[in-house]
Amino acid sequence: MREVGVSTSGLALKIDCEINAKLKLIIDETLPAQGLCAIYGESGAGKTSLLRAIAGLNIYSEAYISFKGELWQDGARFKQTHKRNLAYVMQEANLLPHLTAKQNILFALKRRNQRDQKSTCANADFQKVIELMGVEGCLDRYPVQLSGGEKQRIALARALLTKPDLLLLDEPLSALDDNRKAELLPYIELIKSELQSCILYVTHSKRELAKLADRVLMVEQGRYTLSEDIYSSLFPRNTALAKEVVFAAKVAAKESQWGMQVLDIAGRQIRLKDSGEKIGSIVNLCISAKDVSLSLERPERSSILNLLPATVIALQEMPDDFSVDILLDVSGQQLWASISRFSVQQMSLELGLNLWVQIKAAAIVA
Amino acid sequence: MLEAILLSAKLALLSTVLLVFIATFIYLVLPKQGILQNLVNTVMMLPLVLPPTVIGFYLLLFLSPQGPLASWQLAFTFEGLVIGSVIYSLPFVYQPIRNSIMAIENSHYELAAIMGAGPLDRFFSVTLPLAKNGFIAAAILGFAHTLGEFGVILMIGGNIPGETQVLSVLLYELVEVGDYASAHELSALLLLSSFCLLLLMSRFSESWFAKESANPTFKGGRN
Repeated sequence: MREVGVSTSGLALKIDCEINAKLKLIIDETLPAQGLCAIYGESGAGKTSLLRAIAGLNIYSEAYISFKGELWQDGARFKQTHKRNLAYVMQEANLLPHLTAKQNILFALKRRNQRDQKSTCANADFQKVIELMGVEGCLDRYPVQLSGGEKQRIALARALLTKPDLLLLDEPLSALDDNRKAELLPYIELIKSELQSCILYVTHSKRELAKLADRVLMVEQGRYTLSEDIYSSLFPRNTALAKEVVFAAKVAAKESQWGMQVLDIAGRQIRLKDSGEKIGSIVNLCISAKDVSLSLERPERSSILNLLPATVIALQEMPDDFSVDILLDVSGQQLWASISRFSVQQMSLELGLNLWVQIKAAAIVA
Repeated sequence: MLEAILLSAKLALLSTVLLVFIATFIYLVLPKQGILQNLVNTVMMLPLVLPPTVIGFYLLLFLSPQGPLASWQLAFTFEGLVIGSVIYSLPFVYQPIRNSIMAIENSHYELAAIMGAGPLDRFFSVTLPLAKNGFIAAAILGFAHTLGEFGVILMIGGNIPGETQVLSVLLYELVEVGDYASAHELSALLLLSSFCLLLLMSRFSESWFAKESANPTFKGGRN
């Protein structure tokens, strides 16, 4: 799934400019023409500015942008937004207010077909995408009559139907509450699998990212770096502040009567809620430090099923004077546990101590 | 009297159509800031404050047989009246059009561009529909204002029945000759038509979409 190396036929970005007195936009990377690249970083780090520059909505003088060998901008030479083969779904306000949802979709479809001299999109195709996005009931309504989630799904349906070579998604789920977000996330995955395009996806959520991304553009103070290894970028193991780690495990068996599956971690077994992965596949577990507790002896009759033997390899006192983050080695993989200083004292934790970790919760992310 | 009514209606209709096009064109070609924009806007506002006779006087000078545009032979003709009306009513049409276009958020244009619409396409698919009410209000105001003008017409058109004798000029003449009964009829007609036009305009001067978002059921739900 993850290609190694960079293709010159992808999206080439070379920008070095000042957005304002405080913020710069510096990038010199080439993204492959296929796959989902997450853009991850603090608010105000210039993520939207980058997408707007790629779309041709913000024009920076010191910029070189080309896509699939087509020059989009080289300093003053500039290809206008409507001539670029892209779709852009923003946080909100993705629909023209005077058109119904269906007219909004057709607006883009008609113009794209004219430009590419394609025949209009097949009716069957349209129906399929509308059904996939679950927006059959919204088509004849105006944007003011739609909920936030419906508007975003219409915008995503439009993006899917126009089949752009480049899809820019600027936190398309951020205006929604957590339940809605969880509902729409599968749609983004769907777009990723339906479109063999280059997708740039701005997000604040590590979980969304770990679930969707093939690579990640990390941005700090407007400075972008591309990484193909999203796990080590997102979950750096060497800092105590990283509360989440990714843990590889193999699906060993299903226990359908309990709704669980058995995962194998270096010969040890843990049980998690069955979320449909195939037996024999390798999954990544996202485990938060707060969901890991420690025990000196193997606990019996506990409600926590998931016990693994571990060795303490580092203790880091946290600045809050209350908690300590413990780095553990579990059969060669690393895991953080966050416990109180009081417990450290009680258990006389020290380097090299062998103990048991109990994993209270873990999410399968990929 | 019917002749004057028809002439007034013809003049107002023709001027309104011209005004909507001219006002839109001026707005589109005018730079959005800078000294030129200020100058042109100020010049276009002049008819609001100048006595109509002043505009009429200068127009007459330009159009008279001794004036620079004498060859056009427009003084004391219907065509001359149209030119005078267009100049005199321009601010009443320009302002509502300008305000309604300026009220359109830039994000709508960006959205249309992302969806593949070029500049001309955006004018027809975004500007016109979103500024529709501004255009309607401007047209009504321009029509009503042209119906009611008097000074400019008297200066450059004179009082030729069937050519330049519009309602307001006819009314003046009726009062001069002491035909108060006809003057009453004509005044009442002008008063009533102006009232109706302004009432109609108030329906469009507020944004349809402002109402729509404040009260989503305003238009009766889905159509």
